[in-house]
Amino acid sequence: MVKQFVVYFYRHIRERNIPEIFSMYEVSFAKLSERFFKGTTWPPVEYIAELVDKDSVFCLLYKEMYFRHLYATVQPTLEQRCESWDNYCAIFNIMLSSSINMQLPNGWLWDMVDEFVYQFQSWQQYRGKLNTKSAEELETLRNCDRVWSILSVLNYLQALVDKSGIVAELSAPGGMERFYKTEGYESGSNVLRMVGYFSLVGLLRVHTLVGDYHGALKALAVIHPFQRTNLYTPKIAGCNIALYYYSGFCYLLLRRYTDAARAFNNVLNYIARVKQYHQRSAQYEQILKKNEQMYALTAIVLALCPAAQRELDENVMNTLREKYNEKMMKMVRGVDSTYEELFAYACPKFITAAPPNLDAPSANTNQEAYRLQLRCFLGLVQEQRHLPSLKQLLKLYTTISLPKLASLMDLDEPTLRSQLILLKMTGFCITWNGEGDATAGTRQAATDVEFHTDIDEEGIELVTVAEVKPVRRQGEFLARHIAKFEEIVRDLNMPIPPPAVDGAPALPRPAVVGY
Amino acid sequence: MSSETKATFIGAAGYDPNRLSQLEENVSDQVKNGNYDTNANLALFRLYNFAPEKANIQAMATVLIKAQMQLPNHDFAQLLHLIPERLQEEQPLAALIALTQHLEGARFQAYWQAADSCREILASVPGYYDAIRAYIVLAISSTCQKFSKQLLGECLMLDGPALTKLIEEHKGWAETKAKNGREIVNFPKIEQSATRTQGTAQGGMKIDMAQLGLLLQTVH
Repeated sequence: MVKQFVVYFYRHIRERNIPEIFSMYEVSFAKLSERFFKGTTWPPVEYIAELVDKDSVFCLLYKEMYFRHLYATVQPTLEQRCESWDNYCAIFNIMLSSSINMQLPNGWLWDMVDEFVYQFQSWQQYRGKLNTKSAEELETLRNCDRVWSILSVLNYLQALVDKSGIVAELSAPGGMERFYKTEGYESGSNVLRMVGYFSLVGLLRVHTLVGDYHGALKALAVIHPFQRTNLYTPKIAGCNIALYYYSGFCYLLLRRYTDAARAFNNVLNYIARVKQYHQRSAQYEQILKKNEQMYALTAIVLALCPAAQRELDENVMNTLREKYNEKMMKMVRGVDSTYEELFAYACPKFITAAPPNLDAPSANTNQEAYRLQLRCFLGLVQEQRHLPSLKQLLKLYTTISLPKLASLMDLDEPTLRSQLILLKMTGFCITWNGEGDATAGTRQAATDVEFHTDIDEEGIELVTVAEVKPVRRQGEFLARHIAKFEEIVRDLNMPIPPPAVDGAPALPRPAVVGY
Repeated sequence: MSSETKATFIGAAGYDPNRLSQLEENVSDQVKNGNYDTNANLALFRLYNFAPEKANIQAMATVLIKAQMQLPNHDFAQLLHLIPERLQEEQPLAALIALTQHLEGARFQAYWQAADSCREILASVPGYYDAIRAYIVLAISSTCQKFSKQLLGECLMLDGPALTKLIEEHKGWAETKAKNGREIVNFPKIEQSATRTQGTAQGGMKIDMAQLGLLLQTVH
């Protein structure tokens, strides 16, 4: 069986038969893994080399799949990690020297970039746990400081981007549309072009892992999460989810709450729409997990900036309420531990980019990176802790004197003045306004309470509050009801089905709602 | 600095440890020329983060001061994510972090008190105090219609002629007196933010194009 698989796989790759390659890669490989290699590894490359005329590129690709499967089933050893690194270097070097003429399925190419970054992350986590390493392992680590180093990883990804010319291709007039239509399968090999494209998302992820949020969005260059016409990523679920998860997280930590909500809203809708097609895929669990994590992040966004709710569709908002209503209330009341809990659950696995001190092997540096990001985040949360109750009070009044408000808040007047200014200033977010790359934006209001302070003729300070009416999403509301109405009418008009031959009643077409 | 040289710190050049000294020079240039280069500064902090033993605290402090001058934008907070905890506790970085917290928390009097202890380093960046005062003015004038003159002076660390000059320099500001003799500064009318004007006028139903598209999609 395995022999047959390898032989056919090799033949399809040589014949550039994309659908067959993809089906063997996506379906057969998973099936064979499940049946014969559960809890163990595929045969090492030496066993199959004979079957494929010792084709060097095919052997590298086989090893790529071999190591991916290995990482997913068993705990890789230090040696295996180094070997896999060498294998990726070999593959990328061939791509960079432009000597690849094959066509490979885009789904696989995305998996390659994704796995490359995953294994890098896994290496960092592994290396951080120095306290469990033997002297021998420490010695090996000392000798391979370039292996999986962050600079090597970034440079590979960037080199793939540069060499592929993808940035120029997509920024040319009509480039996006063409790319979207051809999916890169044109004029020779698709490999370098697509790997270059996916590397942009890879760069986004690596930057996010070290806390470089602005750099992460900058690295996306021509991919813009909010320019969705002709955006290619939705065609590959894993890539699309990665794009929005990491960019949304970056926006959140850059305090661009409206943009964060917008990114999450977009991809949560996307997942709701496509997840049924992935039920059998190996990625299904992963998709569901990211889905949950992004709801948690959206809850944080709304707790910090309730006005960002206007970016959410009704169905996302409803699901969010079901899942996180209680926790959102707690966050609004300023319970730090709830923020921390959701942050810990939903954040990416941060890494410490600097190599650990190999001469002090008792340390475990893995928590450092996480602690740093959490500390920065909680600092912000604590600063804003009084704001929700201040807002609630303000909403009860149209005018209130400053001393009275201070006594209600149990704060002294100078502190209250600071809090009012803070409330005003946090009511603005940098928001993308349709121009420039993902880091661009202008300062816009995002607040649910409108107020200013004043001094009356008697010299008493007052706070004047204006009501903010939320913008209703009429369109969505109507769309939902129209769809429902149509469904009812259709059901009423449907002829009574004749007794079906196979006994299965004709199913009514499911209504398309809200997309 | 021309836009050409700026562009070199995006992409591959931003991951090149050999450019560290070039990036550090760039920081001094920014101080000299009074400009600000987000991507170059970010590249510098990124490389320091990858190799903290090479971190030059002086250059970091300068970049952080420059970033503080960008308030109300959150450049400072963004860089903070790239500074290892150990370095965050070193001086003068710790002091600068505390200063930013005061400014962001609108505790302006506390800010000036704390700023006094790192006068020298702050004054080393030309235009620093002007930028900070501009931020404080923005914060107060977008929250308050009228504000006590004395308090304004305290928040800006200005008094007498300097304060009067600042008030005169701002268009639309006026001085009045309340019945109890309190001196007041009037700011021009605060523009109401976008949330209020959007779509809700007269309670009529407004549907924007994006939502209309959605409707049409449904009714097919």
